[in-house]
This record gives sequence, structure tokens and C-alpha cells, in this order.
Amino acid sequence: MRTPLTRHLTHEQLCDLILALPEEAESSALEPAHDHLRNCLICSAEFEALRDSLALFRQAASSYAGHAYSRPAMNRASIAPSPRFRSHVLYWAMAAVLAIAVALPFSLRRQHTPAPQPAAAATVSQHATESDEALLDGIAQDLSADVPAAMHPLADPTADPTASQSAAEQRKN
Amino acid sequence: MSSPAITSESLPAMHPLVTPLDDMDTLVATYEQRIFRFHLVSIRDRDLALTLTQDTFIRAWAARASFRGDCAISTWLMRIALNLIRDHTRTDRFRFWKRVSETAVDVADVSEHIPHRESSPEAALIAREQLALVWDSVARLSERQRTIFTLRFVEELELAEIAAITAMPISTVKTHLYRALATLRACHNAPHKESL
Repeated sequence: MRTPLTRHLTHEQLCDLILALPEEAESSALEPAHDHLRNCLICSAEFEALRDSLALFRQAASSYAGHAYSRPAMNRASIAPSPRFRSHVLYWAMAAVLAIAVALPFSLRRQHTPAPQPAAAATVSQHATESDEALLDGIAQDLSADVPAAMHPLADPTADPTASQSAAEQRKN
Repeated sequence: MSSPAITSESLPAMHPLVTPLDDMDTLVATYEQRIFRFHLVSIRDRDLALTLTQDTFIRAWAARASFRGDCAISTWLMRIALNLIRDHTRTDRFRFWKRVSETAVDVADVSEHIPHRESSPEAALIAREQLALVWDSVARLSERQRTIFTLRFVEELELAEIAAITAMPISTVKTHLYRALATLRACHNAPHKESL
């Protein structure tokens, strides 16, 4: 029974043709579809294109996988880090060297400067004690000096009774 | 009366494990490349494919006692490989590393391996375009469709064998293949429609 040419192969029919194994290709179940392909240029062109694409995919994927399988086989034996990892290590090593180069002069300067520090501290404290003593001496001298008349303490107003009376009279007035 | 203690040395003599899986060297030599190819095409990352290939054989070795021989060794190994892929691809970590991985397989790399049957530059260009089209189409498939597509069109397995590996009925396998091929056909026909 022939498939009418006005109808193209359905998706399932086309798929069945593609999925058929070589030994199944000539089976009676697929015969109508094969008949159609012989007479329909559109369906046969699409079938050929799909089949070729799938074959290409299989061949390229298999070949690439074979290549990738044999290439890492050499790498698998080696535990050496990858070149990228090595370059990263190199960068970090260079950064560490630079950091040490910058930090070294500061640390050396620190090692030299602490030695005179105690002497300087001693002199500073000595000067401070001297100036303190001089200041205290000055204060003692000022205190022992005569008090000016203006700074004399005022007379106690409670000591004189007349003074208190006159003050009461003033309040009354 | 006390029974003699069971030691690890005495076990093999008492219960010898005579299965084809005991000879791991032969097993690896026979199936490693095939398992690696399946991993590589499925996850498209060389380093990850190598790791999963190793894991496949480690799991096979650990579970060799459970192999009952009711299917081919290749089917059993493929089933383990498929489970590993499923476990791995479901994690977010895999999705992240897939984006940033240097070892991810690019279609340009695979294009270098197109067989040169025709030497003309035009034919080579068309072949590259065809491969890129299938490559992109496969990437668009769901995980199950991609697995079944790979098993059928790269590993060239029969539908019954695919059904055994994926633990699906043959009709379901066929349905997944129909859908995968529909995606491929749509991609094939899209350039023609655009040109019209």
C-alpha cells in the first residue's frame, strides 16, 4: 500500500526511519515509508539531512572523546599542577617578595632606633625634675616674700561694737 | 564450643567471588573509553567526565557482588554512569562550575574532529554548521531526552538496551526520542523558514 504523495511523512514515521537499525531498515513495517521517500523529494531531503547530521554528530563526538580520552591519559599520570596554577603561584610569590622588600627597611630602622631611647628618656625625665624643682623654689620664694599692703587681710568688723551700731543706725535711716 | 573467628583473609576462600567484575583491569580496559565518551557527551566537561568515569568503576567495584548477570556488563556500567550524572548535574555547584569551567567542551573543539570526507571548503563549512546545529539542539533537550538521545545516536544502543539502562518502558524511550528529534527538526528547519 502506497502512502499518498499529497501527504508527507508524519513526524513519527520519519523518526521510525531514523531510529531503525540497519537490519530493520528493510522490514515490512517501514516499507510504506520507504516507498514514500523514493517518490517525495521533500521528505527524502529532510530524512537525508537529519540522518547526515546525526551521523556527523556521532562521528565528531566519538572522535573528540577518543582524543580527549588519550590526551588526559598522559596528564592523569602526572600530578604536576596546571600552567595556570603555576602562574598563580608565581604571582603570589612575586607579591610576597615585594611585600618583604617594602617591609624590610622599616623593620631594620626599628631595630636601630630603640637603643638610644632609654638614655633620651632619662635625660627628658632629668630635665623635667630639674625644672620642677626650680618651679617649686620659685613658688616658695614668692610665698616667703612680703605681702603687699593692698593684699593685707581686712579688719574683722565684729571686733568693733561702735562700728556695728553705726551700721544699725544707717539701716534705720 | 566457640566458632572460629571470620577474618578478611578467610572470607575469599570461603566465598569466592567469581564474577566478570572481579577482573577490574580487564573491565576498565574494555569499557573505560566508552563510559568516558558517554560522560563527556552528556556533561560536556573533560575533567568532570574523567572524574565520573573513575567514580563509575569505583562504584562498580564496590557493588560487584550485587551484579546478578541479568543484563550485559556494559548495560550495568552505563546504569551506574547515568546515576552518577544525575546525582552530579542536580547540584547547583555543578551548574556554577559548568559556567566557569575551563575544561568545558566547546563545539569548536568538536568541529576539529569532523571526518574530512569531502575536501572542499564549502562542504567543510556546511558540515561545521550541521554539527553546531545538532550540538545546540542537544543542549536544549531536557536531561532525560539528552541522555536517551546520547545513548541512541552516540552509543548506538538498541531501544531495549536504553530502556534497561534508564529503567523506562520502551514506549517511553521512544517518546523521548521523538521529542528530541522534533527539537532537532525544528532547528534544522528554522534557517529555511528564515530564508523564505
